[in-house]
Amino acid sequence: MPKRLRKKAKRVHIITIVMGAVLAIGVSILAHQYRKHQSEITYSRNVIESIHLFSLQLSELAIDEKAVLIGTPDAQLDSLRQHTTAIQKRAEQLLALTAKDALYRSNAREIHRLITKSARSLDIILDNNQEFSKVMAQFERRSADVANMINLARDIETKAREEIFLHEEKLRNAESILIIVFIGLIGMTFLLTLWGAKLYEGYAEVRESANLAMEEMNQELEKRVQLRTSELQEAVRELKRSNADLERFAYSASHDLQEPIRLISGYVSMLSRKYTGKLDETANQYIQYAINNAQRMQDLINDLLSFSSIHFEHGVFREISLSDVARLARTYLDVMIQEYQATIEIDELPSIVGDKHQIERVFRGLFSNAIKFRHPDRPLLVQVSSKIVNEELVISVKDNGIGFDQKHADSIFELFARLHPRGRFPGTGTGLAIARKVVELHDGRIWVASTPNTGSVFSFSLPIKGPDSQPWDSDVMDEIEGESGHWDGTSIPTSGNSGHRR
Amino acid sequence: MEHQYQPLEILVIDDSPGDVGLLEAAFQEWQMVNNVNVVEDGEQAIQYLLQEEPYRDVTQPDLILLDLNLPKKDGKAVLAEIKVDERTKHIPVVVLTTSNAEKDILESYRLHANCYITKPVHMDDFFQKIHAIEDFWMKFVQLPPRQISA
Repeated sequence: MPKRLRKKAKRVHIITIVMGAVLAIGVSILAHQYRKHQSEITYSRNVIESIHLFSLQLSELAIDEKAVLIGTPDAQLDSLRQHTTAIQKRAEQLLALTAKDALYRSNAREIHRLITKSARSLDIILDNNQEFSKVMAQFERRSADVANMINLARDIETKAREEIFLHEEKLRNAESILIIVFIGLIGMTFLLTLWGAKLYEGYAEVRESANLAMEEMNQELEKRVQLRTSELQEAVRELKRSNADLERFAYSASHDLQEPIRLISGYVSMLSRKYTGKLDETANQYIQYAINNAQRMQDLINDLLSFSSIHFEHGVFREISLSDVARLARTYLDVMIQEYQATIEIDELPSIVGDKHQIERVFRGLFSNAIKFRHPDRPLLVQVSSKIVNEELVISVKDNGIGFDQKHADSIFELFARLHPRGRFPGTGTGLAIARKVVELHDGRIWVASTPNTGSVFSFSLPIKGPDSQPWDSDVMDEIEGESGHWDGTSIPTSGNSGHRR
Repeated sequence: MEHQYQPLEILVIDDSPGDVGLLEAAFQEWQMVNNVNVVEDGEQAIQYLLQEEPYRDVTQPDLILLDLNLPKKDGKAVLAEIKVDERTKHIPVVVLTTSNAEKDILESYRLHANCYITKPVHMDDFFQKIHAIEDFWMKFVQLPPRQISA
């Protein structure tokens, strides 16, 4: 979620909380007010009721009094007394009711005082021993008191009614406020909901645009990957094509080149066969030179073919014991080993994943190289050992031969490279080039350390777990065969090797 | 002792005069009585075998030496035709070629070549092989009677 949106959402949260708090406080204040007004109204009504009852009792009292004045049956007197007591109680009640209220209190006190006074005057009136004039005076005073009380009561009532009116109005106001608050609340909720919805919409929009952007990026990436893949595939196809072309070229070159050489050699041989004894020594020597060079050309072609066939001579990569392979290479050279009384010592070597036939070629190349360049003054000793250096397996083939200047250490692995005149050491100079190619096809390196007159140590490294993949997977070969139509990749190695082994 | 053997009628199908020359030299050296005829391409070979023009008067060969690398109609096509035709399928065909490609070898035998021999590089080996062919087909083998004769 972007920063802007997060800020907005935070604002909505804060506003909602503040509004909620304000509302809660406001509503509780309102409710309190409401209750207060209601209790005020109830109180005022109680006061009014009390006043009404008082007024009623007062009028009953007045009636009793008049009846007592006219004649005085005992029953009437009793009633008067009872009413007097009752109204006294009522006045006390009223006093108690309004005790805390300044508004009615003075009136209530006055009423109470007057009632108490009238009760006393009643005693005077009812005393038969009193003079008539005194009694009459009492009566008149009482009447004035009653009138006074009625006025007081009315005053209280009026005030109470005013109070009720006032509080009812306030109640109505509170209700209105409550209604307004509720309407406001609903409105606010609605607005907040709208705001929230809008925010969510914004968020959804942002999210959607982010998703879209991501999708676009993905598509772009995918496009690029596809483009790159197709470029790579094109490059691979191009490589396969050029490889197939090269193979066909090597095949036909070697076969077409071999034809005339075979015939040259054949006819020169025929010359020496047919004309034996008829030619002089020089002529025989010339014939021999011609035959030797034809043979050399043949060897060169075979070795070239053998070299160029290595990479499509895709043997099976499987686990092989290097000791076994090295011993196998040694047996191929048994005749030479015996002839020169050479010794080839092979340590216990680990197993690797590789092409047995090709690795055997490496060993054979290195062994025959050692035999070829043995020291004339001492029997040849070749020692094969292995060690692990930097997570690589390094195989060393050490000899005590004639050695060479270290400055040639790199060039001797080149194709047709030779350090010595052909007369002394025959060979085409492909053995080490083939060894290097094989090792490199196994994701390894080959190098040599040499001291003239002391010997050489040829070393090659191989990955411990074997190469990542075969130099040619079956798909590739299928495709090449499919493209070239008539090509049979397996035929080349056979021809190359037969020439090489000879 | 050569009188014990029927003179062998051999057809060499090879377009290389050099090869043919060496072959003839080898046959001569063994001094067996052979009649070696040479055609240079596949079409001529078929015409020869079926005694069509211009080979009306030739004798059907007892043995064919066939090079695979031929102009016009290549050696395998010729081999296939020979081995399909009732009139020629009984004639032994020795494929004699420079190719040692497994594919060529296998295909030749699948087309019913009677044997497959590579031309050796060295003259001594070459002569030895040619003499072995002669020996085998003249001394050890009972050949079928000629079906068509002049």
